[in-house]
Amino acid sequence: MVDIRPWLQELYAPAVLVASTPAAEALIQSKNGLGLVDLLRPYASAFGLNVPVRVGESSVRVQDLRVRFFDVGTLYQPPPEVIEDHLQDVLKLSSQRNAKLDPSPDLLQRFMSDNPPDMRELTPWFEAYRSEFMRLLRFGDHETLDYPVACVYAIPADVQNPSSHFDTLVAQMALPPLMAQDVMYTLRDKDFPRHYLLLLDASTGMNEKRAMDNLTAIRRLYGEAHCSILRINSGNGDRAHSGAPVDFFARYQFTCLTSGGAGEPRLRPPPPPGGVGAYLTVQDMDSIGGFVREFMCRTLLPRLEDRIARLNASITAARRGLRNRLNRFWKGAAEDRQTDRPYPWHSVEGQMRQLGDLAFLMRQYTFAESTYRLAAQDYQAEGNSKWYAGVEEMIGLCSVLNEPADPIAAVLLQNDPMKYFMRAYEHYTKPPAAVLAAPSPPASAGGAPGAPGSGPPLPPAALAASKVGRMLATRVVMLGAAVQSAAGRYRAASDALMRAQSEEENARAGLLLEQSAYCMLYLRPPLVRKFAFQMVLAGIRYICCGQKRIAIHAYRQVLALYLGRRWRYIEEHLHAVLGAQCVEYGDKDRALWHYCALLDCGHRPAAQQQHNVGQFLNLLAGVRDQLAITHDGVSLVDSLPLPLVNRHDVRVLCSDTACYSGPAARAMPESAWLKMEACCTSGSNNWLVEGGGAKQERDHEEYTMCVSGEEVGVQVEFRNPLAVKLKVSNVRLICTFTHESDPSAAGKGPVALPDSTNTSYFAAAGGSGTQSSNPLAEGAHPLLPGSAPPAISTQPGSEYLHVAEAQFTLHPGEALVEVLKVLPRAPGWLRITGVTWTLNGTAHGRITFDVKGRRRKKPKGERPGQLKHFPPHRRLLFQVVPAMPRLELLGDPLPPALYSGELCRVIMRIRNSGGLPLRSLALVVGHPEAVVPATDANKDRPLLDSLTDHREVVQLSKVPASARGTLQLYRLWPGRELAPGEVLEWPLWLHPRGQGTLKLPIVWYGEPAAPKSGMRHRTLRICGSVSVQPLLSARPVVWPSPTHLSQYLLRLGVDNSKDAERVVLQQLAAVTVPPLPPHHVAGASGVDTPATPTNTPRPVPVGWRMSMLGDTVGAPSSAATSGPGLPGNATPDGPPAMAGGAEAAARSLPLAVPLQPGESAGLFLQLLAPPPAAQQLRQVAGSSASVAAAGMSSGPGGAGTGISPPPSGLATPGRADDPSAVAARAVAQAAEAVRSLALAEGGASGAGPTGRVSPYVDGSDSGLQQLNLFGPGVLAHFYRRGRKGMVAATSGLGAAGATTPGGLSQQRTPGAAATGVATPQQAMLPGGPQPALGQSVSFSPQTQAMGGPGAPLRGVSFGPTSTAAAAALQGPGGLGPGPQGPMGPGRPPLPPGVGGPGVAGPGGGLLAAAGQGQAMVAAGPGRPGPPLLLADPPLDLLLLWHVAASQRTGPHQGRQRLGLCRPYDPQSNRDLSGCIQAHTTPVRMLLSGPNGASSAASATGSAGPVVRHDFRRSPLAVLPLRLRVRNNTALEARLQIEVGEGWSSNDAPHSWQASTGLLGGSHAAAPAAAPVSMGPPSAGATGAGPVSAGPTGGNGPLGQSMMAGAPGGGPGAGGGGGMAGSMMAITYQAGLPPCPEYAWVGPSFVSVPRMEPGGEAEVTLAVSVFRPGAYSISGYRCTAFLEATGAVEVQRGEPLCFRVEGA
Amino acid sequence: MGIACVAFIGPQNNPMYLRSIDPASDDLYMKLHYVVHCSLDAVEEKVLLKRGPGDSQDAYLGLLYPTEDYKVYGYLTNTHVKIIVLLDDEGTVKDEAVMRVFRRLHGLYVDTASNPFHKFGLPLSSPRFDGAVDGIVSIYRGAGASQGGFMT
Repeated sequence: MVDIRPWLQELYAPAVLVASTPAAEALIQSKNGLGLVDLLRPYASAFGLNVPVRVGESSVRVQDLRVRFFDVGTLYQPPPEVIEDHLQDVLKLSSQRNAKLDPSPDLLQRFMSDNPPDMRELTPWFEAYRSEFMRLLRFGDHETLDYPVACVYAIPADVQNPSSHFDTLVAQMALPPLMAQDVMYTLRDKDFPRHYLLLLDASTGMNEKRAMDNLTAIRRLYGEAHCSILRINSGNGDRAHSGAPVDFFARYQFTCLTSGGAGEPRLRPPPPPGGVGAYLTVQDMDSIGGFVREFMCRTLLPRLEDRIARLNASITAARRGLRNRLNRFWKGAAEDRQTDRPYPWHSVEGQMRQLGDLAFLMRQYTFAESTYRLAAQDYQAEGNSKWYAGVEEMIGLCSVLNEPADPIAAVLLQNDPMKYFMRAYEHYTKPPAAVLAAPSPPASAGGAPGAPGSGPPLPPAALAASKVGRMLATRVVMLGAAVQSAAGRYRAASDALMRAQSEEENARAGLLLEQSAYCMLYLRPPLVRKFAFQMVLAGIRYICCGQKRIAIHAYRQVLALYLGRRWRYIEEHLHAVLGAQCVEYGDKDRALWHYCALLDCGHRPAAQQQHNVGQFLNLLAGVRDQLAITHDGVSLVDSLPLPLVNRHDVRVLCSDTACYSGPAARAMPESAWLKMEACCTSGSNNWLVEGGGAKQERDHEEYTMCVSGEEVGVQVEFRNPLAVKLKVSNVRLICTFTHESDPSAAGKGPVALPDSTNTSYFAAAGGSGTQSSNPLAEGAHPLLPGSAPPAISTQPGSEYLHVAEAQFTLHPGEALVEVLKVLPRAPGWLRITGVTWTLNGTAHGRITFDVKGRRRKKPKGERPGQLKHFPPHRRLLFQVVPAMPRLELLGDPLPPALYSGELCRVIMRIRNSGGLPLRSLALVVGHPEAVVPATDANKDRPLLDSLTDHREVVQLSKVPASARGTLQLYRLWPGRELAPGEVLEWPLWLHPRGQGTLKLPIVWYGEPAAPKSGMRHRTLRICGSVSVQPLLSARPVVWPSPTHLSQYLLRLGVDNSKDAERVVLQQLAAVTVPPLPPHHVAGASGVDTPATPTNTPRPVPVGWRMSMLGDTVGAPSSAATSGPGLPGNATPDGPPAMAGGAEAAARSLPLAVPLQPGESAGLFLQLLAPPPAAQQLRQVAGSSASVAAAGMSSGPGGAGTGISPPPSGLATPGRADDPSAVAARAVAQAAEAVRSLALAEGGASGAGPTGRVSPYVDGSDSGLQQLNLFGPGVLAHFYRRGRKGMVAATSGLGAAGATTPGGLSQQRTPGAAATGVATPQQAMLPGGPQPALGQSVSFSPQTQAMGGPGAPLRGVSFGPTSTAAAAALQGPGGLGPGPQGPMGPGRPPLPPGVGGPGVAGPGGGLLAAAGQGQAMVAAGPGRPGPPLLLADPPLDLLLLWHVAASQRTGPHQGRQRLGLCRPYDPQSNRDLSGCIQAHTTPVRMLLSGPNGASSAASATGSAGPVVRHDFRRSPLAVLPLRLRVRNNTALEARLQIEVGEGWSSNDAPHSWQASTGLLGGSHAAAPAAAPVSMGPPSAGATGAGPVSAGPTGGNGPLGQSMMAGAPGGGPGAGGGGGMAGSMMAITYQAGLPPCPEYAWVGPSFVSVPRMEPGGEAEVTLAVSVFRPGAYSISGYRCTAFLEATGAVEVQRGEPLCFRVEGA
Repeated sequence: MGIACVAFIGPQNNPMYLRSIDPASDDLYMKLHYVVHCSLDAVEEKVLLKRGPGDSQDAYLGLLYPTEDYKVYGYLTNTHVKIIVLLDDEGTVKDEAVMRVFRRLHGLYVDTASNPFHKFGLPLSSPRFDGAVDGIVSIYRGAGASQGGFMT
C-alpha cells in the first residue's frame, strides 16, 4: 500500500499568470531560447517559507509552496480533438519506448510472490498518458484550481516610465477566454494580486541606474513588496558556465499543442546558437530563485489570504447559517436553472468553488471539503451537473488527502472516497444541459437523455462539451482507481475502470482495461483468467485505435495463459489477431509464428483453412532463412504442423540378418519368423543366443545391423488434417553417420554422444568430425530456394551416405505412409534422427523422431515400458557392416487366386543381390499346403509330367521338435554356392485346401561363404498370400452295406461352385493307410508318427477298394458270393492295371464327369474294407454243419420224436435251390433294393450321368484318369497323415446298454437281490469263479481290475479248485456238463435267482456277474468305455478334377488347371473315415434266411419273403438261418452269440423256436423251471448234455483255436471231453408259451472263439415254426469279449421278417 | 430473461461443451468462450473462499459475476466438472429456477458420461446431448416467463 497523497498534492498547485511585454520577452528569448515562464518554472517550488496564512477559522504556517507559472496567452483548454490527437501521440511514443513485444517472463510467478511488481513498472505508458491527460484537461470552466491566483507583469528594466509600460501591458494583454467570459477571477479586479518585475539584461549593457530608478518608481507606485528587479543574461553565450543541466529547463516544458493552450505556448522559440540558456549564469539562476521566493512570500501568500478571507465572508453571508439555508430552502425551486452555464466568478456559487479550491490548494482539506459540500448543495439543486461533479470530485480528493496519517485512525475513518468519485463520474457523463436544451422541444417529448446522438446534429460546442465531459469522467475514474489501488482495494478499482472503459474512446478504454486487468492480478488469489480476458479486450481496443505495438504487447502478455489449455477458439483468435497485428507492425517473424499456430485448423471450414494456409505461405514466401526464425528457442522449421508427422510410430525397414520381401512379410510377427529361422539356424545357434545373435547394445542403446550398400528405410506416416491439398516435397531423413575409421570418433565412441538435445547433437556431431548428412546442421539450408543444390554430393558425408528424397501430395484428410530411405555406403555407425520436408514448395518443416533408443541402465521393473526395450523396428541406431550376401525375391511367384484343392506349381526366383556368395541354402515353408520338391529338375516340364515323375518327391529335413508339424525345412543344393547376382529358380507346389486367404510364410536361408563378424547368416522372409476360392464341394453320405459286413455304400454328391468354371472329374481314388500291425494298435494310436519319407515302398499295398454301385449288379453279388476276402486277395497293386471284373473293386476309379458351374453330380460307390492282415477264410461249411447238427440233435431230442430229419427240414424252405443260391438271390435282392433307392436319389439330384462312366467327355484327359495318386511324390506328401486308426462309434455300446435292460428285465431283480450275496464272491475271488468272471464281465473299471488279476489266475486256479462245485461253475464258460443244467435258466451268464442246489459258490460268482451287468447298464450310456479302435484302416477319398483351359483372367488364363477335391470335411482335416466310423459298431451282424430274407431288408420295412411249407407233411417248418458276424474292432475278440431271448412273431403262441450251435462250445441250458421240476426238463437237460458233449463235429483247427483261445476252460472242466467246439444239435421242442408243462428250448449260445480284427464268421442257425404266419425274428444278439482290453461289447441284431405259408 | 449459453468445463478447466443457445456469429461465440473462461476464476474463488476442508456444500455456486451483457451462473459437480450458464442480463433471476436448470443439466451430464464410450473429461459432441440441452433451456425459458407473471 503506497501513500498516494504526495502524488495528488503534486497534481495541484496555485497557478500564477505571467505576462510580459514583447520587449521583455525578447530579452530572454533571443539569447536563451526561453520564455519568462520557462525561466521561472524551475524555481516554482519554495521551501521553508514559514509564512502564516489564515484559511477560514484556522491559521496555518505555509512552509513549502509550489506554484505553477503560466503565460497569459496559454490559459485555456485546447479543443477536445487536439487533446485526443496529442494523447494518441503520447501513447504511441510511450509504448514505443516501453512496451515490449515479448511477454514479460514469469509474470504470474512475480504476482504470486510476496513482492508483486509495481503497476507503474508494468504499464509505464499509462502514467505518461495520465499525466498528459490531466494536464490537458486543465482550465475547465467548472473548476478554479488552475485559475491564476496572482500575476507577474514583466517589462525591461531600462524603459522610460515603467508604469506606463505596465499599463500598456495590461491594457494590450489578451485575456484568457474564461477570464473574458467572467468565469475566471479576472485581472481587471483591483484586488487581483499582482507583482511587477523589471528584467535587467546584463549582456546588452542596460543602464543599471535607470533600472534601479525604475524599480524605485514602481515600488512607490505599486507597493514595496510587489515590485522586483531580475538580472539576467549575465553570461557570455557559453552555457558551460551556467552550470545547469542540459534539460534543466526542458524538464518543466510540456508539449506544445497546435492549438496552443493548456499552459503551453503554441510554439517554442528556436534555441539560440549557444544553446538553451546560454547567457544564464549561476548568479542569474539564483536571482530567479530569489525572486520567486520573494514573490511568494510578499505578494502571493498575503494576497491569497486576503482573498480567502473575502470569499469566506461573502459566502458566510450568503450561504452559511440557518437563515440562508431556510432562504434557499424556500427559494430553491424558483432558482432552477437547468443549465450548466458556468457561474461567473463573482456569483456566490462561483465564489464557493473558488474558496474551496483555494483552501484545497492551501491544503486545508477539511475547510475545503466543507466548502465544497456547501457548493455541492447549490449545484445539485440547480442541476448543474458538471459543477456538481466537479465538487464531488474535489470532495473525494479531500477525503483522501484529509486522511490522518495514522493508519489506525484511517481505518476508523474509513469512508470510501469512491462514492464521491463515482458520483462525480455519473454527473460528468450526464449530457450537458446545452445538449439537452438544444433539441428541447423534441427532447421534452421524447425525453431520451441517454441518446445524444439520436436527435438532430448537435452544435459543435455542445459536442465538444460532451466530449470533455467524457474525458473528465475518465479523469475521475483514473483518480479514483489510483486511490483505490493505492489503498489495496483492487477490485473496486477494477470495477470503476471497467465501468468507465465501456463508453470511452478506444485508446483510453484500452488503457483502462489494461489497468483493470492488472488489478485482477493484484487480487488474492489472482484472477488470472479475468486478467487475460481484460487484456484481450484492451488489446482489441488498442487495435481499434491503431496502437499496434501496445496491442501486440497486451495480447502476447496473455497468450501463454491460454495456450495449451484446450481453449481452442480463444487460442486461434489470439493467434489470428496477433498474426495480423504483427504483419501490420512489420514483425514478420512473430507473425509467422502466429500464423504457424493457426495452421492446425482442421475443425474450421475449408475456406478458413485455405485462408490460413495461404496466409502463412504467402508470408513465408520471401523468407530465406527459415531456420533462423526462432521463438523460445524453437525454430519455426521445427514447429511446422503440416503435414502431421507421426513421430512416435516410425517403423524401420532395415535388413539385418533378415531381409524382407515385402510389407506383408514385415507384418508378420517377429516371433513367427524367428521360429522359422530357428529351424535352419539351430545348428549354429544354441539356446544362449536366442533370436539369432547376441544382444546388440551400444552404450546401453540397442542397435540394428545393416549392410553397407543396402538401403535403410523408415516408414513415416504423414497425415493431412486439413481440407486443403498439401504438396510435400524434399522429404528426406535427417541422419548422422560416423565412419568406422574416423579417428576422432573412434576414440570417444562415435555416436554415443552425451545426452543432448538434437540441435546440440548436430552441432557436436559436426564439430567432432562426425560426418553428418544433416543439411540443417550445416550453415546453409540446402533446401532453401536459390542456395546450394540439395544434392547430397556436396555434403562431406556424401561418399558414405546417400539420402533419398521423396515427394508426394496429400489430399484432404489423407494419411500416407511413406518409406524414406537412406543408403549407407561404408561401414560405420548410422543414426537416423528425424525427417525434414518442404510444404507447398515454401515452408520447411523438420521433426525429430520420438524414439528413444537409450535404455535405462537399471530397469525399474519387469514390465516392457520400464525396461525400455525397443523392438528392432524402432531402433534408429545402425551399425553398418561391410557388404554381405543378400537374397532377393524376383517377382512374386504366387498367383493371386487359386481354387480350393488346386494343384499348382510356381517357380520362386531368388537372386543373390549382395556382394558375397552364399552357401548352405535352405528353405523353410511355414504352411502344410505348400511343399518344395527335392529337385528342380522338373521345373520346366509340364505340370502333369512333373506330377508323374518319380523324382518329384519331397525330401524334408529334420526340424526341431517344437516346430514339427507346421514347419517344413528343406536343404537345397548342398555344397553349392550362389554367386552374387546369380539367380536360383526353384519350384514350389501349392495345394490349398481351405477357403479364404492362404498366408504362406517362407524363409530362405543362406550363409555367407566367408563369414564376417556380426552376421553369420542371412535370411529372406517372404510372406505370400493367395486367395483361395471354392470350386468343388462334396457331400459324402455313407452307410453300411446291407449285404456285406465289410462294405459300405457311399453316395458322393459333388457340387460345382456357381461362379467357378467347367471342371471334369477325372479320377476318384481311395487313399488309405494299411492297417496297423496288431501290436501297434494300442501304442501308436495317439502319437503322430514322424514324417517318414513316403517314397519307401509299402510291402503290402492293401487298402480300401471301391467300385461303382450303379455299374453292374453282378459285381457286388459276385464279390459277395466269393466272400469278403476275395477282393482283397484278388486285387493286386496298381489299379490302372486292373481291368475287367477287377475293375469293380479297385483303388481308383477313372471318371469323366463334366460339371458346369453350379452343377452337381452324384456318385454311388461301394467301399470295400481291406481284408484283415492275416485272415483266414473262416467260412464254415454251414450247410453240412447244420445238417450234421440237425442230424445229431434229432437223436437225443427225445421230446421231438416225430420230427422230420434235419435234411428234410433244411430242404423245405428252399424249394428249388440249394442254399447258396438262395443266399445269393437274397443278397442280390437286397442290393437291388438299395440300388434303386440310390438311383432314385441320384435322379432327383438332377445330374444326368449319375456316376456312369462315359466313354468320352469333352475336356476329359485320359492321362489324368491314369494318374497315380498313391505313389510317392508331391501328392502323397500333401496327404501324408498320422496313422490314427478309426474308432468305433459309441453308439454300439449305447445300443448294448439300451438293449440289455430289455432283455434282462426279468433277471434284473434277482441280480439286484443277489448283490447282497456278492460278498462271498469277493472272498472267493482267488478261487474257482475267476475264469467265469474274467470272461463274462469286463465293462466297468472295477471289473476290469478284477479281470486283470483274474486272467493270470486263470490257469493256475483250476487245479486246486477242481471240485464239483468248481466244475459246475464252468458251465457258462462253455462246458456243457449235466449238472449245470439247473444253473442256466433264462440266460446262461445270469443266475436264476436263488440259485441251484449246492451252488453257492458259483451262484455267487454268477451273481457277481449279474451285478456287473447291471453296473454296465448303469455306466454304459453316461460313461462310455475306452474307445475301441476299428479294424479298418482310415479311408480318404481324393477326387481329381481338371479344368482344361481356364477362362479366368490372370496367369491361369487358357492354362490347364487340376486339383484334388477331398470329399470329407477338409476344414477339420479329417478323412472319410469319420463318416464310416459313425456307422460302425464293434460287431456287425447280418442275419439272412431263405428266399432272400435278410435283416437288412427287413430293416427297410419289407415284410420279407414267403416261405412255403407243407405243414401236413411235417408239422414243423425248419428254416435255416445264417448269421454273419464281423469283428469290426482292431482287437481280437471272442464272440458269443445268443439266440432265443426274445422271439416274437405276429402270433407268438404258435411259434417254435430252435437254436443251434455251430462253432465253439454251444450250450443249451435247461429251462428255468428245470431244476425244480421233474423229469422231462431233466431229460431235456440231460439230452442237451450229451448233445453238447457228443458230437465232435468241429474241425480240427477250430477246435484247436478254441481250446487255445477260449477261456472256457473246456478241457479242464470237461474232464478230457475236450469237445467244447462241438456242434450243437438243434433241439426241437414243441410248446407254446414257455411254460413248465412243455419243455421249451431256451436260449442257446454259439461261441466264436477267436475273431481277428476285421474277420468275419458265419453261424448257421435255424428256426422252426409249426403254423403259417408272419414272423419276425429279433431275439439274437452278440457279445464280444475283447481279450486285449477286457472289454465286453454287446450288440443286438436287427429283426428278420418272413412269412410262412402252407404249401 | 433467458439462457444465452451453456457450457461444461472439465476438471482440468478444459472446455468440454460450449453452446450458444441462439445462433451466434463467430465473434459472439468467441466472446462466450472468453466469458466462460473468465468465469472459471470466479468458480475457483468461490470454491476457495467458501469451502473449507471437509465442508460439503451445495454444488450450486450462484451468480459468479455479472458482465455487461450476461449474468454468469455456476455449478460444480463432485467430479469437478463445472457447469456454467450465461443468462441474458434482463429481468430478475430466481435462484430456484436457475438451480433447477443446473440440476437438470447435471443429470444430463451424468447420463451422458455414463455412456461407456464416453471418456471422462473429453469434449462432448453428440446431437442427442445438444437436443437435451435445448430441451432444458427451453423449459427454463418457459418457467421464467410464467414466473414473471405479468406478461401481457
